[in-house]
Amino acid sequence: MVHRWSGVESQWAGSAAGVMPFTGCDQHNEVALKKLTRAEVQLILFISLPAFVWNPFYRLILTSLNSIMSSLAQKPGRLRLSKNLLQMKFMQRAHEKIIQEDEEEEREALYGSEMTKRMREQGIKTRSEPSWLVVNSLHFGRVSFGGFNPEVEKEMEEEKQRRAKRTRELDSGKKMDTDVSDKDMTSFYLTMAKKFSKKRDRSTLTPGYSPQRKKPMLKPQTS
Amino acid sequence: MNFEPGEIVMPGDVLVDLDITPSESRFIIGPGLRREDNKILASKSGILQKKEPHIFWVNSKERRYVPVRGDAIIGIIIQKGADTYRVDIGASEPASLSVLAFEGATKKTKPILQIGDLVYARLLVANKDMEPELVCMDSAGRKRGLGPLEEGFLITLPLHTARRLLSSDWPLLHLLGREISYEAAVGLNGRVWIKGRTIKDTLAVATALETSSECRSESEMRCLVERILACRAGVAQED
Repeated sequence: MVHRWSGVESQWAGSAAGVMPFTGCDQHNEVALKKLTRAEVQLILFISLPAFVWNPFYRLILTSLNSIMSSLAQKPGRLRLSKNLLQMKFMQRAHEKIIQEDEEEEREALYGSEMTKRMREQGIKTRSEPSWLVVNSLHFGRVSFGGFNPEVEKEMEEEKQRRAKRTRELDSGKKMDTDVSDKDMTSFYLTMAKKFSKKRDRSTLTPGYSPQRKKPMLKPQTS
Repeated sequence: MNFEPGEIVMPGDVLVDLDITPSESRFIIGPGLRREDNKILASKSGILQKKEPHIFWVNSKERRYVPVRGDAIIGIIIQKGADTYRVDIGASEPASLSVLAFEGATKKTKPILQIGDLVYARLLVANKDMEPELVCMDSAGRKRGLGPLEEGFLITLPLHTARRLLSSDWPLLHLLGREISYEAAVGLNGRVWIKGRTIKDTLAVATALETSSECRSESEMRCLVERILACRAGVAQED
């Protein structure tokens, strides 16, 4: 990986175009990477020039750029970011993330094959939990009564509320507190879908909806 | 399953042979159980317990603490180093406690602890091959009730009694708290620190906790609490 990087960098700099120890599909990748690096630099220049002029949004832009770049680099097909870009100060977080992912990949490649089928199966079957705290759901051991230590009593009250909340969640079978309930979300998206759908699709979205038929014209009856 | 919950198991008893159990069965192995190759064995003698859906453990009576990650314990400072304290936690080996592992501690403002002081700390590392490591704050750097314990009185209980004090169905601490204003720290290593407004209060709570290890049921415990509170009231009247 590192070799490939240095290769791209040097070629981009135009110093050693001939020194590319890669063949075949690698070279194909190289072209794509070279294009990306150039595009990246242009993008950064483009964004940072007005940013220096208008300072309040500078950080914001950098943060969003950082997240875009790191998400680019995370994709399984992997567009790689250039080394120079990653060394820039505002890319440090993305850089760390990428390094970590690379290490994980390497580890998987090294030890993944050593994991036997049996280990996998039994790993699923059993899990070790050596803590009494978890098994017996014990309370925290710092207690205070009768206003002796208000700080500790506050903690106790908080723990009590947390526990009550957890049991409530377990009882109702809900995992998380949500600001918008599932029901509201569904109805919201249904109305949105209706809003943006064509008139003739509406009958499928709303059950019981039937377009009003015009009354057939009746011949005036003469008596 | 060779044993049913509620039965007595001995170390080495094979509870489950994973090779012959149906593949959809799951086990969460709690304290007192151990997995060796494809068998689940008991490693302590006691009563097998089960909690739905599939948590198994052995309830045993013990006095010797074995560190477990995440446990809150009471330690005694036995040695001061430049950047760590050595702390006796009642286990086979003393634990280390970094001077920076306190709320708001920096290199310049370190906590001042002397040899013999008590700390309520949580085990961050508890591994059979490594020295246990303590911290006095949570992952966000707040103390959350951990830290040095000043004054007060320390008693040592059997481990199962200390655990029982913290379980929801043993309201001893709360019952005492209705009458007596006190604070306490219960360590899972069996050490309990108590501090009341007067020495009599402290001793009343300490006696209640120590004697409660003999109680076999909740009604016995309630009876004990009543008698101790009555005694305390009697002593208070004599003054």
